[in-house]
Amino acid sequence: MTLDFEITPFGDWVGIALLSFGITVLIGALLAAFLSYVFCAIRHGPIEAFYIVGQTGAAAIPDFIATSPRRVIAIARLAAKEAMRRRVWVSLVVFFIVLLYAQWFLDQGSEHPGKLHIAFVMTATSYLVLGLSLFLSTFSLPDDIKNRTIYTVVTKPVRPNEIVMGRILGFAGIGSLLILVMCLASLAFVVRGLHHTHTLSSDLNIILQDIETDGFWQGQTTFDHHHRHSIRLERKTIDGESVIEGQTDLAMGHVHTVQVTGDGEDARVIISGPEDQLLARVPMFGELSFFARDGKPSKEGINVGEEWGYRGYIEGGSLGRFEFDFPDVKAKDFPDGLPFELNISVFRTHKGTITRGILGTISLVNIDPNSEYVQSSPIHFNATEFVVDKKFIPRKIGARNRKTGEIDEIDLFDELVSDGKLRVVIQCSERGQYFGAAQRDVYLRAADQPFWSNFIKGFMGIWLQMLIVTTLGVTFSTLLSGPVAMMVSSGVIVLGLCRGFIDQVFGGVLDKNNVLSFLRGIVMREHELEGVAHGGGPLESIIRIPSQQNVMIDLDAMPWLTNIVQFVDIGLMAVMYAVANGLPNLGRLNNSVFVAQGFNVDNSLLAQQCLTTAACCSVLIVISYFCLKTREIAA
Amino acid sequence: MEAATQPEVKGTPETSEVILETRNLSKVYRDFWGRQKVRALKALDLEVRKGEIFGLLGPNGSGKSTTIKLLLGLLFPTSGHALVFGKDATDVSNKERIGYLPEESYLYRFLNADETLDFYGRLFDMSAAKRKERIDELLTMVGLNNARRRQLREYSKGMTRRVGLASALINDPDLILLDEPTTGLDPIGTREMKDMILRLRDEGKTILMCSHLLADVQDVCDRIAILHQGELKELGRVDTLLTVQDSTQIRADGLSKEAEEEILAVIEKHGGSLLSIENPRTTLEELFLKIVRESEERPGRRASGR
Repeated sequence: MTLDFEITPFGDWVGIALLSFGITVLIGALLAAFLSYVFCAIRHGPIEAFYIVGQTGAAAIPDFIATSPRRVIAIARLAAKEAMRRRVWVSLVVFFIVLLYAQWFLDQGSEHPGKLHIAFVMTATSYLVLGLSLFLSTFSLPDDIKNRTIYTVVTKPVRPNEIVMGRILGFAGIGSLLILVMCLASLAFVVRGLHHTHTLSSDLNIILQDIETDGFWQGQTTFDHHHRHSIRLERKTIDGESVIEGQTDLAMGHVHTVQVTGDGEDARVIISGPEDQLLARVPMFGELSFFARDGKPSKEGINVGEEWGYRGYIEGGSLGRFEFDFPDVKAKDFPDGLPFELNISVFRTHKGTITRGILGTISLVNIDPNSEYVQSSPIHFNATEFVVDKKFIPRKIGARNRKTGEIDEIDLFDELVSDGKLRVVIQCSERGQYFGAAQRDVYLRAADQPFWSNFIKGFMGIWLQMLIVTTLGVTFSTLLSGPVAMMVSSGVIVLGLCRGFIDQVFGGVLDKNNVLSFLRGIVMREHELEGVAHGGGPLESIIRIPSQQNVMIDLDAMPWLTNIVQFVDIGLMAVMYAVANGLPNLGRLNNSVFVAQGFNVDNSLLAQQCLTTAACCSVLIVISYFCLKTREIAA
Repeated sequence: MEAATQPEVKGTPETSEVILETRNLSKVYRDFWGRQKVRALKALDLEVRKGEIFGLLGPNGSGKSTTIKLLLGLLFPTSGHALVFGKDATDVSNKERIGYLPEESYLYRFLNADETLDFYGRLFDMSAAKRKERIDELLTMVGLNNARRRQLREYSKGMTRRVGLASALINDPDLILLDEPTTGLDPIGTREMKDMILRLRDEGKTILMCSHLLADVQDVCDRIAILHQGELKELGRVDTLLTVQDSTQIRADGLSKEAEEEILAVIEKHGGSLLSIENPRTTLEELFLKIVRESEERPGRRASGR
């Protein structure tokens, strides 16, 4: 469970994003002005068209400046009342019914029930809220026009942008309220639904006797909530007091802490609720470099033949290694030591002992080669696949003194960290086996954020999606009738959600064309790791599917037909690419993957999402202003 | 009957401010493909001056509502210009000074009268205190104080019209556009509406109303324009247009038989001929009002009706 994509820091992102936004808006505005002029020129002649387009465009600025908050709020209140009249609260009832019966159809034996519960509530909320927002926003204005109630509004000193903004605000307010209620209910559902405890399978007296005689007791918990744990209890001395305690093994993504308190007949077993299940880890990532088997730097790791080239591999028993450079490691953030989490992938060229992980080492290296201590003693770990290995490295560790050659116990922050910079070297110790890693696979786990705050951040993603859907719906409703606006908005949302896939298909189509292949890099700028989609565009797929042709081989058709098909596909995909890339990418606002996988939603990412949403909504408001301004309401 | 040209308006001399003006205003409705469906208005030239009640008359489909919609910016002219307060009709700033009562009360039925007026007051950017004062005043004026908390869906048609009128007056407008203002009102409501229109004129408001009910227009309008099939057919002062210039009607009260014969002799002496001698007739509206008034004064008794 790790994150497989990069999050660009907000500072690095914002400049490029604003520039790209500005260029897109400028091109869009020029294109819109040109098309409007052509349309007007056909109806009114070229000279009058010039004045009409100019006046309409120029009127927008004073109209937006003169926007009255009181009018906007009045229309927002009206929209909210209208939404309530349309019984939006029914969606809450549906949501609560779904939650009540959710346990019936959620996989009770899932290895990751936390992930399942979180994904479930967030998906249910998304579907309900986005569907409802779409319905409200697309039908409201057309209904007003149809019922002519809009006459009584537009004959007041109300500007088109105020009508649009008021409606968006009203429906977004209702949507926000629904999301808030659903978020709190979901949080209660997840926390309470996953909470459980166990009892020990043996009698307490027997356990105490075993501990007295053997020094420990090893056994199991009872089978509750579709699982049981193994547990080893030992007597320990903590702060001068003797206590019996232990931690269960990891099952279904969590552990329990077990303590025995009291003595004799007063002895009681206390088993905690599930731990390490609902997390908001704050990872600190380093910069990854690969080194080949001869110890020389390599641009990328070894490709072990997987089509998905996300991870690079190093060879075991050689000088091949990963080096992770952490830029800002401070003692105040990690007062007791460095808690590493590793998601190292293992590629075995021979089976070995399959029940045991592959042995590797971690070394902490000072980037200053002249320091007294250059490198810590290797710290061994077992890399197991599909599980995040936790490795805590205490502050006091052994390191060889460069001058004396002796192994001394040092404080790693004093001796190995230079200006906050620390290098972590990971090697595979077993010959013939390979370790694979990507930049996000090794991280330092700083203090976790509260799960509830991360959960709310996850719902913020849904809230931002709701804002865009509402704005989109209102925008189309200024131009189209209710059902048509709903259909078009739905199409746009689906296109927005499939944007990544469209990019990949277009990349695949261009890949086959020698003339246009230079475009592939531009199209695939965000998808290099995932690679292009095979099988061609829509027309090629129409031929491949009925003739059952493998997508990995060239199209089996006559050369002239293949050429035509691929040529048409380029045209079709270019249109889809242009449309999809001009639309909001709703998929990028989905934070559920972070929350479900137990990672804190990065504030930088959240800021990017908020700014993207604000930019998208602003453009849509301007578009809807012109649509409404140039529309004959009473026609 | 003599067709009158545009005369001088009583109390609103030709030099007074032109509030509404249409110049060669035309409107053609087109279908989706841009083909002409109907020519609703043909080169209309009108001027409405400050302080007058101007009536647009005509049968259904004559272009009355289209003219009002063009003046409100709800439609765009195919050619020509519609000017309100000297600015283009689509100019938002005009609407600060306009009140509009549509031919049907297109109101939000899920609001009550208070909320409705508050909503429209907010659209005029009025402060809360001013809104409250104005809402109380208007609801009292239209007689809906006791029903102000009821949703409009529970209102009768007449009550809805009154709320519509109140909402048209919320901003104390200088220009009031009334589209079929008496539609759906009972005789009392109709009379009250007409009295209100006259009162508003006395307050200095300019009123443009359209109706196909001639009696209503005759009662309140200073000037009228008659449209037919989108064309202006007649324009002038009501009293001038309705005056039959070549006939005289004499009405008197309390005359003896001898006095009537004496008057007859005078008519014959001047070469005239008596058309008829009959008791003067009241209008149906006046009769109805009299009956209602008598009924209210003496409940339970059958009104004389005369």
